[in-house]
Amino acid sequence: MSSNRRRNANLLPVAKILLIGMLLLTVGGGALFYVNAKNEVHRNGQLKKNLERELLALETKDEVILSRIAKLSSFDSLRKRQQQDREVFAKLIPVSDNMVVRLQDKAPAAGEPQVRTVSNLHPAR
Amino acid sequence: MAVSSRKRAAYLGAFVAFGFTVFSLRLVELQVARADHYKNLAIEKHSTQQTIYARRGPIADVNGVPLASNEPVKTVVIDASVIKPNHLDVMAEVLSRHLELPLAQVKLKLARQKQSTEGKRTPSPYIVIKKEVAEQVAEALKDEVNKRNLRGLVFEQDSVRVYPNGSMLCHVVGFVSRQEAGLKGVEGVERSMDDFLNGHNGVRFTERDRTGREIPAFRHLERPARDGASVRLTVDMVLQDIVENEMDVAVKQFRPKMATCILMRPATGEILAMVNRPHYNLNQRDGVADEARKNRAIMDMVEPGSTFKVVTTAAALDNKLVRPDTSIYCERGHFSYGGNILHDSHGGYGDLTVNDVIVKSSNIGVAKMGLMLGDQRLYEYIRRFGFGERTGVQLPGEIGGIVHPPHRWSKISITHIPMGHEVGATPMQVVSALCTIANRGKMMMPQIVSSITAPGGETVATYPPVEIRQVVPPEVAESLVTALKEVVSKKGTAALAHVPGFSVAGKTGTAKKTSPNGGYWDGHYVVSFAGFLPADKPELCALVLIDDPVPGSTPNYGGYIAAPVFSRIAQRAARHLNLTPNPELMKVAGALAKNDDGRNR
Repeated sequence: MSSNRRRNANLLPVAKILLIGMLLLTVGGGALFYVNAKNEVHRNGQLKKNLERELLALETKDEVILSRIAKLSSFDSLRKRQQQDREVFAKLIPVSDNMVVRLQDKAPAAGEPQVRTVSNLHPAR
Repeated sequence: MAVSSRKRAAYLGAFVAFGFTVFSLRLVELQVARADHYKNLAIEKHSTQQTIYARRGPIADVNGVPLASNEPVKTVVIDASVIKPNHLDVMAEVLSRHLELPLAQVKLKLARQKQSTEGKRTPSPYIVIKKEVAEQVAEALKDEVNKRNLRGLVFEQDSVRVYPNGSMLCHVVGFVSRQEAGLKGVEGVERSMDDFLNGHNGVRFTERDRTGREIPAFRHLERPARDGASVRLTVDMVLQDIVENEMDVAVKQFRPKMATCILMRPATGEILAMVNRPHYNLNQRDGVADEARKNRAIMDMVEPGSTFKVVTTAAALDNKLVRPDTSIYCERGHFSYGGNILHDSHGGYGDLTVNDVIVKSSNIGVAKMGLMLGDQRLYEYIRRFGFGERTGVQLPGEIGGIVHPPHRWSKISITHIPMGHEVGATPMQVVSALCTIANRGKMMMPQIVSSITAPGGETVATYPPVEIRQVVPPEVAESLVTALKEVVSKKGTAALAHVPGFSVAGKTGTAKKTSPNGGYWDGHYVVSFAGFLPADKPELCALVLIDDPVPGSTPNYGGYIAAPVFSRIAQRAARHLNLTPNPELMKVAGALAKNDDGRNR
């Protein structure tokens, strides 16, 4: 066959196409990955910020509660409440006899077992 | 002349090439030559520096009871540029209702405008409506604004310093003021420990988008805030409460110009309580008089009167000029020296032992000891006991008092100074001197700060007891303790200072006040009692000082006005400190309440 005869069959350069395809896929994939990674960074950043905000809100709540506890349990506040509502808030109840726990036995000597019986009954009774 | 198409193409090519060259050069200029400049401009435009605010450290008592803390609050800000004109009235009404502000005032604020550089007037994007709004109020406001779909409301986080105990311990804790750099301690521990209490603000460099919102992903350098350290005091709030209550009772009864009480632990110099009257509420300081803000325990000086006799006697004993049983003739109550007649307030005495000079508080007896010592030696001991210089307590504004050097003394000073006249001493100096005797001659530095702790819990600093000097040998101090114990006995001037179950040692003081017109002021006294218990192993030392009381039917003496206050305070304090009472000493309590003649003291 003559050498200048036109080829009538165009063979596909599969290897080249594959190479180009691979290159395009790599570049495209890389770009997509980059965009995704960038979005992920932004998402994480936003998440971090939201968490920071939540943490700050919780810390603030915590501080408010601590401050209220400090105020309500302060000597100043307790005294005021006591003066305002003696009957309800801090009524002094006399200690009745049956509420007093008494040691029944004599104090043990050194070396003896130190456990002693107690009772709210008066020893004389 | 016709131009060939080749030439036209060449011209066009050259023109395009020139154009591209110009653009390329400009590009090179922008990207290379002036890259840094534009980079900085971009950073300036998009980058922002956020301050991360540090919290001020809290103050607590020795048991961790909070005395000063921070409370989060909000600053309510309005961006009027984003509020629809027909929403302005509704917004004003909501703000006025929640923030308890007059509606007209809110409307006036919302109408505020800003002027652009071109002279155009637009609604202001930053209007502060109210500062220090409580969190609950801010929450409720936010909910309603969201419900009504209103825009433009912004909250800025802030905090205020709160003092849960109001007026209790006000002169010690002190307060802060808001300054540009943050909170700054003005008085008390808030001021003296300001460097520790103040944190260090952090900083964060970040970028923002075109709407001004932060892009958290593009945060650069971040230095976190360092919160302030917490300061723990030596003060015990239970003891403070006891002292406050008893001082209130005394103030109500005697209506003095001022009153001070200091409770100290002699062995360590720790201040357990400190009370001054008048006082003020730390949370409501507007309109408080300067006098009420003054910590008189360290900023005010008085003539200590007879409590000072301890110093003179200690000096005479230490120099072996006298012994406790040495007899001194007290001139039957009239002693003429340098053209001046000295009297004994509690009646005339003949011969008194040195012990009895203290027990009976004889001015003449102690003046004679002063004469034996001579001015130079007396002055030296006064200074050794810490008078004339600051005690070094960690509180701001302490004064050193006045002790003139001997070359400035008058002819009669040598008889007046030994009994606590012509000397200016702070209550803190007086209690410190008595603590020295209680501590068997060893002078400790008064301390009010116990430790400083970082927010993480690690200790930054502790303040262990500091021994200043051994002022007098233990034997001399012991002799004085024996005499001071007798002061609080039937034959002494302070029987009313007795505490059932405990041996108490102490000294009364009654000094005439100086008149504003010069000289002494008749009928106006500073009465005091300084004592400690248990006398043999002191755990507690206290000074009760009452300035210019209105005594009514009570004799105007330290033994009758200040001593009972001391007794009540010491009784309750001993119970709180779990000091074991001596049953033998319980029996004599009743007997001590009567004078030799059977009169009630």
